[in-house]
Amino acid sequence: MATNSAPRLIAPPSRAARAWFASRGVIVPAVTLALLLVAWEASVRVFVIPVFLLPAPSRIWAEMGSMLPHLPRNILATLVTVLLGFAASVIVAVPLAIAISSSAGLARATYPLLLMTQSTPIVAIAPILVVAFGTGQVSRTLVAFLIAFFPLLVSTVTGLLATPREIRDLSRSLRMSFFQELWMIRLPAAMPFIFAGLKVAVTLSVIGAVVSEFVTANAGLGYLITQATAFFNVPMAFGAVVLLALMGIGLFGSVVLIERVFFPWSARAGRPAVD
Amino acid sequence: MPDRITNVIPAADVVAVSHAYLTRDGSEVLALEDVSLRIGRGEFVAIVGPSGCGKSTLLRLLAGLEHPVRGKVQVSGLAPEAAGELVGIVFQKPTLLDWLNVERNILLPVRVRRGRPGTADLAAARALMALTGIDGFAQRQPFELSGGMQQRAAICRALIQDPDLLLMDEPFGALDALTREEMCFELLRIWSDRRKTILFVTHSIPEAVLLADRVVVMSPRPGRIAAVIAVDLPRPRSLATLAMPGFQAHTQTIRELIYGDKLRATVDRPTL
Repeated sequence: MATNSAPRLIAPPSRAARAWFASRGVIVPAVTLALLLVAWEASVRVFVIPVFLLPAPSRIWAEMGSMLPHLPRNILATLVTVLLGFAASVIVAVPLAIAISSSAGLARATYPLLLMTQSTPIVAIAPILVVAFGTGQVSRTLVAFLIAFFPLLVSTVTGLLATPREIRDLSRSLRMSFFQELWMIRLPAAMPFIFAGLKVAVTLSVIGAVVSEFVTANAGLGYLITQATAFFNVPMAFGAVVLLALMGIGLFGSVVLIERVFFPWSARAGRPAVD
Repeated sequence: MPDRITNVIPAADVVAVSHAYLTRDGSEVLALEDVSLRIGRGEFVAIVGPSGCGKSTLLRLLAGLEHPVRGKVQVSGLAPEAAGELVGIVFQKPTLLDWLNVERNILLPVRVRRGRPGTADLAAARALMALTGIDGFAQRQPFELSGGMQQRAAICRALIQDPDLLLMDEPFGALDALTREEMCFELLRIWSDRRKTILFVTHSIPEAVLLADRVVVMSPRPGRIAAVIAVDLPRPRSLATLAMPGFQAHTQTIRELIYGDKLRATVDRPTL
């Protein structure tokens, strides 16, 4: 570096400036959130809004505090449904996507059917599923799975078909077998697409889990919401919603983290890039 | 040059090949018509021609990526599909796999054809990286390399199994002009070290003349061989070659073969 001999044109940023640049991504949204909470709290108090319409943040916090002993069990119940549904969607969608992307005939045969299941509102199916599969974990998992599965399937198929032509020429010139091509080229190349699908699927699994708990559950955050609203305990319902939001953010973040750590090239691609 | 062909079996043999594509509406596009070309061992042959002259098609046939509709294509006396390790290919784009580091990219053909690379393969990869000037980048990811460096890695990958024939499809076409010139001299150096048979497709006439023993000039629609020019410029070739009268003469000859008539017509036409 020639910076020692030549005089600097631009003064180096101060320590405070560097600290600000490093942390503004956290500070700005945190301040916004804090301001929003303060405004919420203030308007509830100033306009004397009844608690069953809109509870103040402090009230929600207090309610959660009093519920504390019951929270772990309910959070865990929802989390189990979310993760089972999500896992099932991955286990079914990825192999099915491989099959569909490898055979035009199979794609033609299954796509309309899959599209039909997807166009059917899952919320409408949920009670029927309970009749068929009982009121247990199986029905709840199925609902979460059905909601999460399709976007993952579509993005995985898209990714597996998006291998650039030059890369396919490379694999053909090396006379790769089907499984060599799949394992060495098509799956890794599809990773940015698969992770885009996983990020959507994990969020949808949370929605599916809550829907399933509305229909059949004796524990869980969705169950907590139905119970709380039945007794006009709106602060508790709000608290459960906040926990669900946090769960969704946490799961989404986990997927992002897994991608960054284990599939850095995919995270670099950011969004699916063809070239 | 014919006197360089010492072996009986040519490195590549194209006999009376015609090739066509079906378009979506079912009509036929003739890509190559009655093309014959024999490439001797150790020979450096360049193919030039305007786009649509079928030069890439010819290369794809030799790579076994397509089968000729008529005629016969052979590599070292074998069908291209059976030639396997005898052929190395460098594409226009580096086509390195983003999820493998440079060394693993270079060893990919070994991994595909023979499984886990051994110490001999690793040594071969290292020697090639040294030869092409990318030693020290073995553990880097492709995106960390410049375009020229990536194409060097692609050349290493094509050479890793010591092929008889190296097919290059406009390998420097995606590079900037300066890097491109530099890579030409690099390729000449690599060729003089390894003495591979090279078939080099390009649309740059000076590039073809600088590199090749013979320049195959193709004309478009349908692709035919218009002429084969033997380039008698002395080797090793260098920057000085570009200034030689012979170099100028050859490029001029080829230029006129490709679009001489068209240019003359343009000049002769009265201006408005």
